[in-house]
Amino acid sequence: MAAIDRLVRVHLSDRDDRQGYITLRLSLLTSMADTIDSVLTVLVPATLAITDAIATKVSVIYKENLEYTLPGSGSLVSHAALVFWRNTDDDIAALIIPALADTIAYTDDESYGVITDLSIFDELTSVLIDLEAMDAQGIPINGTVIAASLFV
Amino acid sequence: MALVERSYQLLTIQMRDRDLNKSSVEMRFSALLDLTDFLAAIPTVVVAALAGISDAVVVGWTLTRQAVDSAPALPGEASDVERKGVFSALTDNGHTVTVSVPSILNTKVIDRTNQINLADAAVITFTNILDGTTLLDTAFMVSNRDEPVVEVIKGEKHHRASSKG
Repeated sequence: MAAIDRLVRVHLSDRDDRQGYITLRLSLLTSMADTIDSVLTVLVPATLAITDAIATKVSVIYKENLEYTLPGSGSLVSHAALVFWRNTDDDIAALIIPALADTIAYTDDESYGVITDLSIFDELTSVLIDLEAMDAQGIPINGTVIAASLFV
Repeated sequence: MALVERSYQLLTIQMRDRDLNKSSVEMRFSALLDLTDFLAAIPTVVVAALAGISDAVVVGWTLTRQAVDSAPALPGEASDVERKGVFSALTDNGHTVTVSVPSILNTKVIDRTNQINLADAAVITFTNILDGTTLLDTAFMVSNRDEPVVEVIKGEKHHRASSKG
């Protein structure tokens, strides 16, 4: 896990609503909850004692750049799938999956991009349920895929 | 108002296609997940599941946890994020690392100079975070070479564009 970047950032705003920030790099991975608590109780007060901007947001950021080889010539991120899940509360969660693999026979002829074989999302769904994932709006993904469509 | 912790962590998976066009997948996860287990699951489980249906390649991921002030107070009239307090520090290997504090208080700058008063009590509290262990019990600040920051040696007021942070 040594390759994972570990950053804390305090976002500051001035009277004219311009933004600036302080970024510190941490020596090792720690609990995000503990780290953000420390940032809120130690770093933010210490910063506000020497600045007349205000703190609008603090972030703990862990990130990793992965080594990769160039994907196949058919890959195109704008050739994406919009996937919908109906969850146990009857809400609809949605994710966009870039570059749906063109090796998968996911549509019938003349289906206008509607993905008819929804089983291609089974493995992803299983993973997301195990990890109790939510979509970008916070709607839990804990049910089955009810529809999916290609869009460019 | 006040900074309020969000109850979730945001995972963004960055992907690229053959022509290096970029796209991403964003998901939220409970903030209660065990960090070690979750970090292990990102490349081995989440990325692998995406690889099964996408022919773009995953080039990286970012996991973010935030606290946000949704109704912040109006800053003082003199505030200006382009007026930076730039602190320079040495690592244990003699390299220099800088940290910029937007809108540094003019009262922390020594008159007739652009030097920040490193003997000021509030400045000391801040610099102790940079070259000490007051932020976290076990983690401390390092440079982008992962060298521990051991001593703040200088603080100066500079005017820099806010887009640089």
